[in-house]
Amino acid sequence: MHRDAPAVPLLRPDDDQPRQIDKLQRIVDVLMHRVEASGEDGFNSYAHFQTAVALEAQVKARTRDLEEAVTLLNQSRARLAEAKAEAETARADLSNALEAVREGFALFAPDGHLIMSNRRFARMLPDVVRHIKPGLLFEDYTRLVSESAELVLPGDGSAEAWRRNRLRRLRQFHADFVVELKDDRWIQVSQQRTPNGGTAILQTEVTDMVQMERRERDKLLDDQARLIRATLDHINQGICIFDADDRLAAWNDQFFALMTPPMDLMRTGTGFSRFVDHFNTAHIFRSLDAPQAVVDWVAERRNREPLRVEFQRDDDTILDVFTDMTPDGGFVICFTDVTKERAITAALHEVNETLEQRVKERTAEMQKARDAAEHANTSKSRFLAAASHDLLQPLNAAKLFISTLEETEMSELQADVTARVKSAFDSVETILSALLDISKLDAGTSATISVFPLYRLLTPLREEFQAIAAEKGLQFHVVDCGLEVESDASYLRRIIQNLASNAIAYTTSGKVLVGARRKGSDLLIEVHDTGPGIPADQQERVFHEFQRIERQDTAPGMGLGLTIVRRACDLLGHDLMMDSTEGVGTRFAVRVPFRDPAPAARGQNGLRTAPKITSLAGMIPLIIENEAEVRLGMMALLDSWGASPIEATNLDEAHALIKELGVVPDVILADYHLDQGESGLHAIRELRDANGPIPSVLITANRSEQLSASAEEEDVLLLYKPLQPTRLRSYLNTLLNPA
Amino acid sequence: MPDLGHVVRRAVTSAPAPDAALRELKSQLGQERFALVVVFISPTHLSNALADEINASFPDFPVIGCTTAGEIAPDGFADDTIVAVGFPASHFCASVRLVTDAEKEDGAGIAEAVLDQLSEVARAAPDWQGEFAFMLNDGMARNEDRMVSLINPALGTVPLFGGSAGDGLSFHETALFAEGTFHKRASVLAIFRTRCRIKVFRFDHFGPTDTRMVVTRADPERRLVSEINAEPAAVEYARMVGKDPGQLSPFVFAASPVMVKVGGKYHVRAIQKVEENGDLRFFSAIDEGLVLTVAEPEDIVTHLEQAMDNLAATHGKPDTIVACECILRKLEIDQIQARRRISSILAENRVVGFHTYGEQFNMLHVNQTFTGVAIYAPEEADAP
Repeated sequence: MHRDAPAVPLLRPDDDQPRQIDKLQRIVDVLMHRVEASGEDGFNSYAHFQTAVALEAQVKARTRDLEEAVTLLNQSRARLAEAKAEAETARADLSNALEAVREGFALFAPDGHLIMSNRRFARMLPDVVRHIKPGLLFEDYTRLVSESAELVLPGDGSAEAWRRNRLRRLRQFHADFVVELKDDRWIQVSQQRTPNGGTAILQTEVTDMVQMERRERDKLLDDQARLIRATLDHINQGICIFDADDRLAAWNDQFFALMTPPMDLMRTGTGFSRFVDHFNTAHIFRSLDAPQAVVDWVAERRNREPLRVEFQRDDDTILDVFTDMTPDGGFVICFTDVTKERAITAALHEVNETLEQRVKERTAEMQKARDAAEHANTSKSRFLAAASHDLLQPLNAAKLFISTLEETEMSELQADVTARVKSAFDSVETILSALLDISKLDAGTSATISVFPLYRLLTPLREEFQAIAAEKGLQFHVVDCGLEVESDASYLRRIIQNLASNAIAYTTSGKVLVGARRKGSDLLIEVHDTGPGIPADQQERVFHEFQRIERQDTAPGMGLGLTIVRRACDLLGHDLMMDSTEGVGTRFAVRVPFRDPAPAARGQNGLRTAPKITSLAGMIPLIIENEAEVRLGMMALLDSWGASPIEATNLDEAHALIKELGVVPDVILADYHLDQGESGLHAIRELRDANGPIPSVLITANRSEQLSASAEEEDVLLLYKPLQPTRLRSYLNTLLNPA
Repeated sequence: MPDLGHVVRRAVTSAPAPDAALRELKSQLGQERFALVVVFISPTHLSNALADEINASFPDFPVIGCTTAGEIAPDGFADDTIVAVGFPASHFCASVRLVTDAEKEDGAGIAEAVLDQLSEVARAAPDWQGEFAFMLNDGMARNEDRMVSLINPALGTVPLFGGSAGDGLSFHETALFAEGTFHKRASVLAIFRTRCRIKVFRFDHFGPTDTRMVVTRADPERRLVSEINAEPAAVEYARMVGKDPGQLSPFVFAASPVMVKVGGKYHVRAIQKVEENGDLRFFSAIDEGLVLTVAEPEDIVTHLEQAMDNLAATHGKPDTIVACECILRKLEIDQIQARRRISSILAENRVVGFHTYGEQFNMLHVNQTFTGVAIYAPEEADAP
């Protein structure tokens, strides 16, 4: 806070000494005056300011003190109020509690004054009760009681004696005694000293007890009966026992409470039939079936099995009733109140039922919805299928008629029109079969996945499209493959067909190539064309129904081919890929899982060749072989090694293939005997002349010295039939790794 | 669009014509019923026509106000504007009293009148806990201390704040508006009661240095100091603060005020100007024999930010702060070219008010402070 610069001196350094002394004198004067003048001469603004500052501090301090005091005051006031309220509540609670007890209660203070009592206190002494009010002295209370007209004084004792006796008891810490009142009424008094020296008094009317006790005493009860009695009274069920003569022998309070029979029946010796009469007239049961069962059970004297039934009383009480024989030929009936248990069971049952019902309803609803959806779907597919099929019939008929027509003599015009009509019908037929395909695909259940060699699809394809392509001046090539694929043969054929026909349809010059190649664990079946390509912004659209790329120069198409391809691929779970460059061409590829047939072959030999260390991936062997079977076998073998073999039946084809693919094969595998006397060795020579020194293998059954020499001379490896795959493999390996 | 307020309404206009100015103010304040509207008027707007327009525009509730040495509008520092603050009747009640120069001279009955005001607001809103007093004084009459000494006995612990009206930088004449017209040398005291929580505060950004001086000759009545350390006042002050006597200007006074130590605390005594004869005229009370300590400022921007944060610490950000800021703070802020930064802090914290010729904080008339009341939203349970 303080600035670093030193303080500016009070006096100017350039002042001379007398001047400095003068100034100091002046300064001291005003300071002295200021000190002394404080608080004088009327209103002075600065003085006010000074006072204000001082007062401000005081006011602040006072305010704070005051606030604290007020807070404290408020707190203690709040606590006091709280305590008061608590006391009030406690007092109210106590007096409520006291009123609730059945006994008379009074509390006397240590000095003998009555603090509080409840209304039952001394109620049986009407001439005393009106004097009972807080402040009444215990001595006076005792006097009032002793003089009460209701009190029966014991023996010939005087009221005075009674009083003395009573006051003596007061000195006891705890005392219990019984007081007799007129008309054979009795009160038990419990008196207890409270912790602070007061006295609490409890009065209980015990008239009934005293009378009952007296009655009981009058009876002669043997030990056994007492024991049974004690046992019965501690059982939670209502029990009554009858002797061999069907007379009531014993019962417990629970029986009395549950069945509420009239008092006069509850005597030892009451006959069972009297109970039956009573319950017959009382009409307390909902149904008499169960009680009747009990009566019948009792009536049937011998070999009775225990009986268990349920009584339903008209107050909704359900009683579980159990009867059994006793060893002495009598019987016992037990009653248990099971109303609650039954209610719970019933409720559970009901909940369960409701739930079940709901589940059923929901299931039914959902089933209905599912059926409706399925129905809608199938009816759509069925309609498409039916419509397509029904339309195909008349169409075929029409085509037949047209064929017939074509064979008749026609003018040029007629012939032309007939050709156009035929072409139009062809288009309709194509659309219809496409729709048929789509409906089948939509049904979605018709795919049958199997494992089959791919060439089975590709070979017919070549025959199918070669001519159509040639007609358009296009080259059409199918690069076969020896692998087996896992797919639905008919759908996959349809996919490749559609892609190929599409490619041919849209390509005006150049070529269309169908082939397969491995990619990782899958096989890509690819269709290349040198067509106009698909603009990037339309590439997604080509898969939609009736979508065709807008162009003027294209052949007519239905726009359904690619839709079928996509749906079929979706159905089979094959990825469908497309890349296209405008003006260059388009490639479609279908990713299909494949099986390598090679392991099976090895399995048959029971041998395992040395583990394949190198794959021949990327190697392009050219196979020249006129025998289709052998060629396929070679293709499959090389394919299984990872190579991408290409094939030709003769030298011309080989030339054409290399030219078309623009790729020189890595190795030539040529059969010695080709068709029309052509020699494999010659073919090798010619191909080498055209393309450079390609490593080559000649395969032959001819083991002549001459051929061997020629081969050696021309640096061609000679392998004899039957071909040993290991030898071929090791040779190809050396090509891959020259070292 | 500047924030025109939530509970307390705020408005500003720079329209020179009185009718246009009032139209703008009225539309910004809105249709609410107000307990009181306070206007801070640039001296350039001062005219009887303005008073007429105010009366015509707000016939239903009292309006008080004063001329300024600059306004604090909803978007920060402003000049040549009128700023209005509306205290809605839903949250405030107010009792206003004009105290004329003559009444102050006499002094009789002023304290009683304050008591009446207090009981008036207490009766009007017994349940509202917030209470504060707002005082506007004439900026050239130099009778602030007298006024506060008169009202203080009655005001008790009700917190008081306020300011002395300004006249730009001319120090010529200032005016208060109350009871429908402009007044000279008067004071206006408004006592508020509110359901809002409030805090009256004051802060300055000065600390003492070691350089001290003694006033050896002064005219306390006119707040003039003619001699310091037995030398001519202006020259000696200039020496003490390290300036050439010829350089002395309001900017120097703003940057290097002097302070007096009273009650263990330092209080700024700001210098208004140098008189022709070399005397120094102060903004607040001085006397002979006073020891003046040269003050040194902290960074005013940082200090203001901190102070605003402190105000937001307990009850959150205030709904509105009504502030009286010393003209000398404004001068310092302009000198260090911090007007934009300061304005944005003020706008951010919803401050409105004016630049004064002196501030009032409880019983103290002080200078070079930022003094005001922070008004917070009522506690939830209390909300209307």
